[in-house]
Order: sequence, then structure tokens, then C-alpha cells
Amino acid sequence: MRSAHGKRSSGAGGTGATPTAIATVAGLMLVSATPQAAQAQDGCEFFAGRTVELVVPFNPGGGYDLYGRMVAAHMGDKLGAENMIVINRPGAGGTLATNQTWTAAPDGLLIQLTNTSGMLTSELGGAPGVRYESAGFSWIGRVTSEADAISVGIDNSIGSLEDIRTAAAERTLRFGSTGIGADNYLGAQIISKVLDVEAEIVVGFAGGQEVFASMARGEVDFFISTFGSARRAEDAGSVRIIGLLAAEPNPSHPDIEVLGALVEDAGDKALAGAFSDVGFGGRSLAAPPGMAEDRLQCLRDAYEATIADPDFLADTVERGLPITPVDGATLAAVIGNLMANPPQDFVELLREAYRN
Amino acid sequence: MLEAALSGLLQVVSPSAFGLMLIGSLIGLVVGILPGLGGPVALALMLPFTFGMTPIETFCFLLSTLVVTTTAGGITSILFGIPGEATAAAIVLDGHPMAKRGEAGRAIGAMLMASLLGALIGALLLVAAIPVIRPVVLAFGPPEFLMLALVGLTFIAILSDGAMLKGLIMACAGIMIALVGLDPQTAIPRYTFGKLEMWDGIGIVPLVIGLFGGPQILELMLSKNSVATSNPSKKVQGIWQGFVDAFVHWKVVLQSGLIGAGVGVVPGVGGSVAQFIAYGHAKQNSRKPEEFGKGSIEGLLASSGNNNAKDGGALIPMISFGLPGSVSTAVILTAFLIVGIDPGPAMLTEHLDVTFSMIWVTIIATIIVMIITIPLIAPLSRVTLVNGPLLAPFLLTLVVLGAYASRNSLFDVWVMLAAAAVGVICQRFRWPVVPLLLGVVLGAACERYFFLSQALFGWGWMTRPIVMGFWALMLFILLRALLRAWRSFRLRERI
Repeated sequence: MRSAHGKRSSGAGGTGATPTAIATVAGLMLVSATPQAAQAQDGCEFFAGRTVELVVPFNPGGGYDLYGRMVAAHMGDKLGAENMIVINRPGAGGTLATNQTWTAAPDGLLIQLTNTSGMLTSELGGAPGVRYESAGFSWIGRVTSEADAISVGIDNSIGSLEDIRTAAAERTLRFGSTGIGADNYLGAQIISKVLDVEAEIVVGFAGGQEVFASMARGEVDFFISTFGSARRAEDAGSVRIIGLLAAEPNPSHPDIEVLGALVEDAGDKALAGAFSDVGFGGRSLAAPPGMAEDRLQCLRDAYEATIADPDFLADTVERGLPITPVDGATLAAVIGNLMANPPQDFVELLREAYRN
Repeated sequence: MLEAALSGLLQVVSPSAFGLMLIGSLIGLVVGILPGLGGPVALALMLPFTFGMTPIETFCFLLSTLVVTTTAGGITSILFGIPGEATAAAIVLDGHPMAKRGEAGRAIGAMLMASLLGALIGALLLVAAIPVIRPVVLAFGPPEFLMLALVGLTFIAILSDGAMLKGLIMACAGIMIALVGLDPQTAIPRYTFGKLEMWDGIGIVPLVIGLFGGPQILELMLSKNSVATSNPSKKVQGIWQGFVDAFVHWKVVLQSGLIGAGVGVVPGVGGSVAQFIAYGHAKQNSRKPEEFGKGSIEGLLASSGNNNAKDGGALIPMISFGLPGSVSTAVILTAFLIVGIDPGPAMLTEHLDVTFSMIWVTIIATIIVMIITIPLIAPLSRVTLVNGPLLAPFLLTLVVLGAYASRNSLFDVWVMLAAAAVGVICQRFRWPVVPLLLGVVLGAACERYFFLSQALFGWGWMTRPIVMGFWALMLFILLRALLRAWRSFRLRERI
């Protein structure tokens, strides 16, 4: 306001617009009329001197937090930003952070490490509290994805996936779970359906570790978890891994049986595979929806540069955090397809879980 | 086993490991003193620095921070009446009245020495438990955890300052607060008013900070006085008096340490509850129970002695099964993964020296923090002489930051303010606040473990041997408390 007054009084006087004012306004109009040109010009320079926040939707010290901090340590430089810092925003199993990222400004200063399978299954199942659309996020790239292992208590008589059907005839089998809607709950539902067995899913455990301890005590039979945590529980002497929850054998673990091998029915096979399809996204980086093409490209390029950086790769080895990257465009395409054409059996299963 | 112990000790006192312990202790001191700024975030920030360290160096660095945080939290509890950590809340009950009397130095000294002795007890328990760790941890399932939580709730009877009905009402209110969030069995949101931030329940950290901090800060703002209302005569010498106190009342410290170590073994329930169980037990067995809550040295010793003992106890399930007891120990668990050691049987066989090094760290780090704090006690106690209205804004800032920092959530700040309001009202109308806290912490645990026990065992869980033992214990505690209440009632009648 004040400057406008200033311009008027410094000009030729009177109430009309001065030549300076006209020139300024015209200039402004020109600049705003070519937003693409203007943005393309400052594209990645936008990040110079700024801090980018990488939101981790879980508590510090967990797997997501470790990956987030590892990425943040390198990606900030590649982006040309002053800083990239990790902000932990736990809550509602990750939905809190995802909702907040969905409504954040798409300027590139806020990105999130997503629990992609949780995001997708919550949305497909109509979980309460979901206020985002997974396919709408600006996907930057996948960091890592792990297979899901089926493990059994160390003293359990069940030795392999085949034994499950015979054991089910003798007694009610039990899955441990941390809560309805969690991956381990959905995995339990899928196994029951695909193998056609009646099984009880015991919910209420505070975390995977509690379930593993319960399995060691012989209280529950099975638990679905990431391969890494199952392997660690195996080393601790609590459980045995008996299979993977997938349709096709996993190239990283060729000698472990997959659920899909036990079923002939195409629908059942698809169901066994749906879980790993949804898990394709693993832990990925996403930004709020509606981001300008070139801004998103800056982020994607920075990510590509990060995963090619020998220092970063050395870090992944030293920290014991392997990566299985996928570029942003492919990731976005896969997620888009999945959300547009989800396997109907799977969606029914999800809706049933959340219908409570 | 002896070689492993010696090997562990030697590796811990090597220059690099010891230096890391010093740094970790300093960090823990700062983090512990600031209310709300918790162990987990500090530990997570320290994790990247551990890549490339040997396992023992890693644990020296991280464990020293964890151990010192819990001890240092007691300093703020004593000086300002605001718990520096949720596990230091009980220290406020008697530590702060002592500071008001001008005995801040003595209180801090007693707290430090009791913590050290407690650390020793916890370490001894860990060593003694090594041969039997796995079967013991395996014997404790959801029914046993449920009973432990219920035993904790019976202590409400003792900790209600004689107003048992008020105590029970507050405990019920606490349980209601614990119910807020997603139902663990059916994932139905309860009392969340449609707000996603409430799905995980009301955070314990902002609750504790507000409940205790609110009345304290308000009092400082309204009164023109400083925290210490009477002039301390010899502040520095007070510390040594405090040290001596811990040895004079060694029975209290011993029992508190044992309770801390024992309760610390239970994942999840351990930390926040052990302090109140130890406090309640000391009060029940004291010859001067009426002094508790007004600056009783026994009360202070009981609430401090369990602090580091429970850290030792919490290491038991973590080392043997990778079962973390809290968010802080969960970060330590991650450290295991980083150094490439898996928790489990190996920790008790080929990596026994690493296990022992963890034990040594808990002891040595507590000694370090004692030595560091001694020269600081004099200036720290002088803070209690600062004018109340001057101190209040500073404390207010700390408290707001602390409430925000636990989950980076502005909602937690509102929780803290609401809890502060509740705390002020309770103090004004003389309603006990500790039962509320017990209800919140234990209510959630009770519900979860009850439903798990039912799902796993039907009603058969009630007759398991350890469970029966706990039933007997509960009955014993209740009867004693009732007997005492009845006796004092009869006494009053005669007068």
C-alpha cells in the first residue's frame, strides 16, 4: 500500500497511474503470464539456501527412521538445498503424516518416506481417517522393498507351508497380529483364504517383537513380517521362516518356498500375489500432489543422483540398510495401475477388515 | 563368565570407549534436564555417529546417554517440580518439597547416590539372571504382565494420601484417559472426536509435564517468592549429607532397586510405573509415612533408587529376545542391528563380553554423571533462589518445547496445557494426582494384556502359577493398606 502511494506522489502528481507504475504492472503481468518459463528458469535453483523436510511417519530409531536419515544425509546436497532434515511425525500407523503431506504445499520443501503398502491398503479398504489418494501423490522414487516372510514358532510342529493344511485339520491355528488393518493381519487373512483353513487371528500385540516372543512361548503359531525382522527373530532363536507371502519365487531368496506354489486356482494365486504387488512400493519417497513438472523432476533427478553416489552406496553397506531402488515414473505408473484396477478379492478382504 | 566380565570391563575403559561414554553422559545430562526433550530423539540423532564403531563403543555411547537421561531427569524434578523425564515424576513428590526447604543440594546428592546404588543392584540382577534369562523371560506372558499392571494399580490404595475414595476416582479418570485412541482389538476409534492425532491416545510425556509442571509454574508466577522459601545455609555441603543419607537408609534403596529391576523387566509397563510401586512400597513400610509427600528423605530415596535399576532390568528381555521395553530401548535395539549383533542366545554365549560391557556402562555412566554434577549442584541450587516471576517464563518455554518435541505435534502442547489445568485444579482442591498417572499408564496395558490373555488362554490364565502368586501379593497389599486406614480411622475416633 505504502509503495503505491509513494509511486503516485513521486510521479507527475494527480490520481492517475504514473509511467513507472504502468511499467511495473506491465512487467509483473508479463512475468506472471509465463509461469512455466519463470519456473523453468529457477527450477532447481529454487532449493538453494532452503531446508527440505523429510517426514518419517514413525518413531525415531525404527527402520523407516534409519532409511530416512540415510537418504536425507545425501539427497540434500544433490538437490542443492542448504539442508535436508528428518521430521518424525508418528501417529495412526502413518496415516497422520500421510494426511498432512497430502494437504501440504507442493513446492518441494516437504517430502515423505511412505509406508506404501499401508497407504494403499488403507485407501482400498476404506479405512476411517484416510484423507488422501495414493495415486495422486508426486512419487519421487522407491528406496527399498522387502519380501514378506511367514514364520512359525521355534518349537512348533509345523515345519513347512504344506504342513499348515494338515495341522489345521487337527486344531485351530493362530496368527499373531498387531492390529486390524496391519500388514500382518491382512497377510493372515490371505493365507487363511488361499489355503482354505480356519485360523484365529489374535490381535492386540504391541509390536512385532512381542509376537515373536509369544511364538517362542508357543502361544501363537504364525506371524507375517518383513523378511529382515523375521530373519533377526530366527537368529534370536524364537522362530523359523517357512515361506514367503508371494505368488512367484523371489529372486533374492530363491530357496524359500512361496505361498503361490501351493495353489492352482488362478484367483487364489492372484490373491497371494496381491500382497506383494501392494508391497511393490515398499518404502518410497513422495511429495504432495499437484507439483509442477520440473520441480518434481528436480527431486527425481536428485534421488537418481543419490542412489548412484558411491558414498551413499557405501553408507548402505556400512549401516546394513540395503536399497532396491525404482525410479519415480515407474513407481507412479505401478501405483496408478494398482489403484485403478485392484484385484477384487483383495479389495473385498480389505473392506471386510475395516468394516468393523 | 569371569573372563567375559573382565574383558567387557577392559574394553569399556579403553580410551576411545571411555571418551564416548563421557560424551554420551554429557548429552544425556542436557537431554535429561530439559523436560520433555526425550531420550528417543537424542538417541536417534546419535545413531548415525555410531556407524563404523565397534559394538562396545556403540553401546558405551548410546547406553551412557540412556542411563544418564533418567538420572538427570531427577534434577529438574527436584529443583523445579517439573519432571525432566516421565520416569522421574515420583522424584517430584518429595524432592521438590526438600528444595523448597532449601535442601536442594542434599536432595540432589541423595538422588544421585540412590541412582548409583540402584544401578549396581540392576547390574547385579542382570548378572545373576544370565544363566536363567531365557526361561524366565519365556515364563512371563500376557497374563503375568497383566497381573503386574494390576499390582501397580493396587498401589493406588497406598498413594492416595489417605483419601482413598478420591484416589480411586482419579484412577478411574486415568483409565478413561487411557481408553482414548484406537481400540487395540477392533481398531475402532474411541473418544477421538474425529481427530487423527488422538488415534494413538494421549501422550504420557505431555501429560506428566503438564500435571506436575502446571501447578509449579503457576505458583512461581503468582507468588513473589523463589522456589526455595527458606534460605539454605550450606548448599554444597548438602550434597555429602545426601550421599550419607542414601547409605543410612540403605534398606529403602535396596528394596527400591530390586523393585525397579524387577518391574523393568516387563516390556512397556516398566519405566513409568516402577517408580510409583517403589515409592508406595517404601511408604507402606516406613515408620513415618505421614512425611511422604512433604519432603521425606525416604520417599526421595525410594523414587530415585529404581531409576537406573530398571534400565538394568529392561536390558534382560532386550538382550535375550530383542524385546524393547520402551521407545528408548527400541533405539538401542536398532544399534544392535547396526553393529551386526543379533539379540538372543549369542549374547549369552559368544558375545557375553558385550553383555557385560553393557552392565559396566550402566554403572560407570552413573558414576560419571555424579562426578559431573557435583560441581554443578551449587550453581543449580542457586536457581532455586531466583525470583519466581523471573523463572516462570523460562520454565514455561521449556515445558511447551518439551511437550511439542516428543512427537513433533502441536496437539501435544494442547494436551500439556489441559493437563496443567487439571493439575492446578487438583492441587487447589487437594485431589491426589499420582493415581491419575497410574491409571493412564496402566489402564492401556491392563486392557491390552487382559484381552490377549483371554484370546490365548480363555479363563485358564487366572490359575497359572506366577499369576496366582501375584493375586496373593495384591491381596496382601490391599489388606495392609486397609488395615492401616482402619487403624488410623479408629485412632481419630477415639480422639
